[in-house]
Amino acid sequence: MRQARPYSGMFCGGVSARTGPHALPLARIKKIMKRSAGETADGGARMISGEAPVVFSKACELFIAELTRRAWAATLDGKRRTVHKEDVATAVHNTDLFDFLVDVVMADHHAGGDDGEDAAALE
Amino acid sequence: MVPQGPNAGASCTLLTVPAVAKDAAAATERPVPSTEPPVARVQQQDRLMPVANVSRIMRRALPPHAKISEEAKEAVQDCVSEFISFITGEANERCHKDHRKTLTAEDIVWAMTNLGFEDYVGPLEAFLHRMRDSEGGGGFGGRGSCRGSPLSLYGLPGVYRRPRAPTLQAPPQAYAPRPVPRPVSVPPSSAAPYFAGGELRRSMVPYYGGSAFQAGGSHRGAFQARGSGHRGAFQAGGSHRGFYTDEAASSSSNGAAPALAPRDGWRN
Repeated sequence: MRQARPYSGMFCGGVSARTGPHALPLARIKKIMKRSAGETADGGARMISGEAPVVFSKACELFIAELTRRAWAATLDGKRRTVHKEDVATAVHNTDLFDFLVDVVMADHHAGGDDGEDAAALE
Repeated sequence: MVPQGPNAGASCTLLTVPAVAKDAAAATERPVPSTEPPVARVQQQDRLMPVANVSRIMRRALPPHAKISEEAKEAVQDCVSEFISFITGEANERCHKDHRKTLTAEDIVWAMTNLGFEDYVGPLEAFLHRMRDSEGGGGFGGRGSCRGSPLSLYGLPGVYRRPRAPTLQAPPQAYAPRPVPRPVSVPPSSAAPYFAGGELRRSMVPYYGGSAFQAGGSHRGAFQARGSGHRGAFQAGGSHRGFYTDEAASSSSNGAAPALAPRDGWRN
């Protein structure tokens, strides 16, 4: 049902065609952007153009795909078929580009004491 | 982590209580369903992409036999939100430096290039051109961005490409050919076999846009193999197509009597 809406929008003369069939909700992307952008602006809220969340929806798809594939490489290393959180963490640690995610994945690692050592060993 | 707005402060406080009581791995990032008030849960989910969307994109990037644990999906959810915040922060600084009020797509792309995601720029540029093409340069021009090709500022050709054949190589899955909702350009001959009347064809074309461009019924398998971004949509279109072809096939192969019997019943 969700996919039906963008098509009917297109059919209706393209009024809402700008939204198109995006894989991620633009409103929520915009909300997250506002949190990061609105805070550092000095005076007044930072305005966000209509295209910016659209660009992000595509960029996030690329990002998720890349992160997932790297995690899958770690899964295969472990001779498994299910991608676990640890595989995502491994992918993050193995990729320089994902350095900004180190804290995000480490926050999930409070459960095991040896996880910190594993992370250090990977680096 | 993701910078929290003023409202999220209360939700953080509420969330730490269940974290002590329950397994830390599960509870640090996700609200506990039973003890959490709904308000805090909504605020928590507000800063994350929906897990269904995220896991769909993840599955597309993986071979069909791969499985994804729930915690891995949640981890990627967090990473995506952090990615958005990270890029937006950088883009915001550029806006601030240039004394501009509006954060544009150009700023986002610039920030990505700056932060090492230049591989994404090519596909993003093509995507933006496709979107603008489908808009006809209309409402999508936006408030703060220029009509032409703002991305040409980066020395990219900024050529107005026809979105026929995507030239993107890096994650091809996300950029499977998108003949998607273009009712105008669908060749009538390929849509004709599925529909009886002209008006039916017109209304159904957006759903069948994908199949009209592909040969035979193999496109569905092809899309699944490629993990198209519109797999859900094309599956919906595919199932519609199956429905109609079954009707058409049954009416042609079963002969007049069995196929017409229910219809006669309706008329009577």
